Amino acid sequence: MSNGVSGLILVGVGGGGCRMAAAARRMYGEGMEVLVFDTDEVAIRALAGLRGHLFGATRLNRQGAGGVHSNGRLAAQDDLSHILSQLKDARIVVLVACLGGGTGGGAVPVILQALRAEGKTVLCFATLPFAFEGPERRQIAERDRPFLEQGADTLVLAPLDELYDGLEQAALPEAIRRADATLASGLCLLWRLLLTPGYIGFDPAHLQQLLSSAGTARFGSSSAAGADRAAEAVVGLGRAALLRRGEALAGARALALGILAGPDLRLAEVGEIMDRLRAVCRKDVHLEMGVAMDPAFEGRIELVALAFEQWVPSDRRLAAVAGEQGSDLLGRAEGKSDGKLRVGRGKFGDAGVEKTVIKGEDLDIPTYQRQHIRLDR
Amino acid sequence: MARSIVAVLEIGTSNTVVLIGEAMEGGRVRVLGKGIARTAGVRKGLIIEPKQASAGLASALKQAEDAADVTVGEVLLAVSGSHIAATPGEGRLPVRATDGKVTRDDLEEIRELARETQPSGERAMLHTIPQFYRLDDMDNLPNPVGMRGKQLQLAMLFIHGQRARLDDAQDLLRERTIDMRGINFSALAAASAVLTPEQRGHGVALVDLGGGTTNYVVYRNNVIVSVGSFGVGGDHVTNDIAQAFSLPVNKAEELKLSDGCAVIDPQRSARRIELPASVVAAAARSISVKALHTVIEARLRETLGLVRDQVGPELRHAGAGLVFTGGGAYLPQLDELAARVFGMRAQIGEPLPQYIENLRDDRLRPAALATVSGLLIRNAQMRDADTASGPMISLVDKLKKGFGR
Repeated sequence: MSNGVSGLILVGVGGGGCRMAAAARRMYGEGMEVLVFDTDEVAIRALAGLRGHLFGATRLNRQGAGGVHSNGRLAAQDDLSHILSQLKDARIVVLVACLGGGTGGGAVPVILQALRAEGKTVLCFATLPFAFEGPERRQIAERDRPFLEQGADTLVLAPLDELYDGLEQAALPEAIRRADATLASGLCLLWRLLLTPGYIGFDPAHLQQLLSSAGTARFGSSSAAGADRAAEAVVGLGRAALLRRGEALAGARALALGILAGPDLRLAEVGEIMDRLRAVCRKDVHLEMGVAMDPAFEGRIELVALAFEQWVPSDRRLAAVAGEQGSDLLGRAEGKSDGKLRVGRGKFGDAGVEKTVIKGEDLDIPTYQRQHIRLDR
Repeated sequence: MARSIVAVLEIGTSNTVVLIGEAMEGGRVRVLGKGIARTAGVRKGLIIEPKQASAGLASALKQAEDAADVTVGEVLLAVSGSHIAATPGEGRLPVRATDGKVTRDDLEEIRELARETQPSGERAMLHTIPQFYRLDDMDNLPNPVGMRGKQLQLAMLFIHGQRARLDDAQDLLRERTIDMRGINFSALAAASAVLTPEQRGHGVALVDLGGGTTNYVVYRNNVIVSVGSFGVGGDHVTNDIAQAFSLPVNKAEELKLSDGCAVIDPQRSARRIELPASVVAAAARSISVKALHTVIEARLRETLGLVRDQVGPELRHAGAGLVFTGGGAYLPQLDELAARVFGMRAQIGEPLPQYIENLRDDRLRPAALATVSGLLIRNAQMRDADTASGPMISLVDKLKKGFGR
């Protein structure tokens, strides 16, 4: 099951992942397809109104993984075909889980690997344990991390210490609720951005292009209203704990920015947001932006950002991709691909990769381009 | 008698592979444990993101250690990349014996003299290979001991790499308190696993088509006469496909593996490949098989052409033809393209059962394991030499039971 047209689905795995997915669903309302998978039957039942699936029931007696990593892994392996069958219609899976525990940490690498093998695009949000939970849990999470990096197209890590930053004095249930809401609101914005028709395209194609090239990323959102809302929204984004209070923006190699606003959004405000962001980002940052309009956002501006830590795209490659799809990055119409020469270094445009130049030729540029070979399309 | 267990590592651009093996009778080696993990953070054979590369190493190491039930304390490492280079060296020595005959001591001395001509500074030596002796006007002598003459010359080949790049790999091992027994150039290692003495004698060119690099080694009369490595590999083929058809890199890789061909295949060129609707393309579309094959052939023809041009006239002596190793070796009709580029017959080089056993793996085909197989064979030979010459320098195979870390 998934949103029919977009193929987009939010999946929570394990106790923490299910709780966060449920929070996002509550906040978004109808239209966000959510599935939750857990090994604990009682926990699933507590998530009223969500389609929940128990896995590993035979092995774990429906009572959860007990914080044992291998239990989560084996449970996922036992019921992998069932899990995959529930996601067979999805094209983009946004998976949320908490690392360091049993079900989330153990099952997610197994599920990610299987989803990747099925050709799904997977954006994985994973929280890292609190420092006070002790080094052992952190080590377990760190051990899982490479498997998540390998399995997900893009991995967004959210250390709980950062998610709960500023909530130290709040009562525990309130702190958990507000921390869940931080991630949930970001997910909701991402959903609206992708599913709401916009004037400047941030369509799934661009998102997928970013995700499939990315590695690890940081994620954050902000909201502002009033006369100075454009500037304040950028300032808010710079203060987002999950973006390391601006550090992730400043160091990002690529940034996907979504602007959600009502029909009262002015062109000058979009310009101001972009100018202010460019001022804090690296000079060579690759910036992709999209704008979605929704009357419900009248009077305010919300920003959602994915800041990619390692990825430096080749703008030429992206231009080529946009050309193939009939629009450039701002959604302006352009002719379909005609086999004419478009020069780009593609994945070899990344910083840190030495060019392969032999006899004066940059061999990272596709041979058919350099040799002007026309493709019979 | 103590078991002679050795371990090897290749941090390739696509895969990180660890093999643990045991030296057997007759110089064979038996694989006890394999670890294979997708590599991240390595491009064109060079580590650009150590943390990501380390994750692949950890995964491969654990798999191999668990399978072999040993803890690895020392490995022999394979390297490739455009920083690898070969330069010739030479030694000259007058024959001093009163009877004018060359002695074993002369050979020892001339090797030392030749070694003095090796590159130093930022270059770290990987292999010092004696090639041919020349005694007065007699050339290409494999062993001149006992022959009469006045002036002895030795041609050497030095294979070396940039020290900083090699240190990057060593740092990953140091993090895990694993010692490095040595570093081998990947194509030389692959040759140890797939070439027969007959092929080396007749002359042969081994071309290793890796994910990020293409590496080659050429033998003539059992002697290495040419080696090289450059930063073009299977990733470039994939990248070309991705750009030509506006596909994400992972989809382009899938397309290469499912429908790729080294030349335009007339049997299939009229067909089209259906690509289902995806996040990249809102609607289903199709691409021409002919266009796909055109993109692949252009890249491979150029890559093989580079090898041909770099090796030069020595290829004329490769009577046993071409041998392809690496994951790229299995691309359909590569032999046909090689015949057009080199005018030579070609074959896939898989590790030979007389050298190594218990290698088969579902994840990587044998030619993709040629380098690590050769490394394992070479490491076992080094161990044998150590054992023969004295006590072992370091214990590498601590049985987990009792010695586990």
